[in-house]
Amino acid sequence: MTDVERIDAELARRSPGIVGRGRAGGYALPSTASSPPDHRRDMFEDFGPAERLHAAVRRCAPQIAAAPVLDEEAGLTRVTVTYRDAGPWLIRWDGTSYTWHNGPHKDTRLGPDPERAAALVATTLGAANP
Amino acid sequence: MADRTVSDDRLAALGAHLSARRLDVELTSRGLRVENAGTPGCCEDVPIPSDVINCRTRVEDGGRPWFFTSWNEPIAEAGRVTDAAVFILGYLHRDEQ
Repeated sequence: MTDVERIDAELARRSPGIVGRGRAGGYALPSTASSPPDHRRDMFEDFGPAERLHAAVRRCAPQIAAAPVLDEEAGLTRVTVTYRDAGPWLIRWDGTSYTWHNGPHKDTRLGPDPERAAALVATTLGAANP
Repeated sequence: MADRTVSDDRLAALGAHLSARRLDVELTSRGLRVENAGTPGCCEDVPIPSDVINCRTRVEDGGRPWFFTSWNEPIAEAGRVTDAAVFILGYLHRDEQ
């Protein structure tokens, strides 16, 4: 038995949910009842572009009130931002860039980088550090 | 969804910070009363600058608790006590010209 086969056998013994190696050498999880619990799967699947922007805004400008909100009509998550008298305004991910979804800057693009977009949001709302 | 008032613990923590900065504080049933006795007020009716701070959830911030002034201006998230204290010190301080 080779080292790899020994490791695979040990992994199979410790983690019966892992069914085998994929072509890239990684391990595949079965789509059966032994998959991770739903809440854990949701936790990872839900961290999309909107959540990345939300985290960046909270980190770089915590004085801004920000929350991810579900646009039920589109089925997509937006980020709502408010600072003092400015907002609440929504920001969307249009597939390639963060973009103001409403408000006075509607359809203005903020770029694909969440950190850069968060800085621009803070500047636009008047919440940027001098 | 109506804003919800949260426990007094956070106001007590804010009160401790403000008290350490020589403001007079009192935790009341209406909120945290803060006075800056070392500074004259704006007029005869308001002899010293003061305010009543409240802590309640803020819908626009995903329901996180925030401190608010008596005129409902958000001060800071309740977990950022130092930021809130600086903000309050700022507006309760009047330059003696």
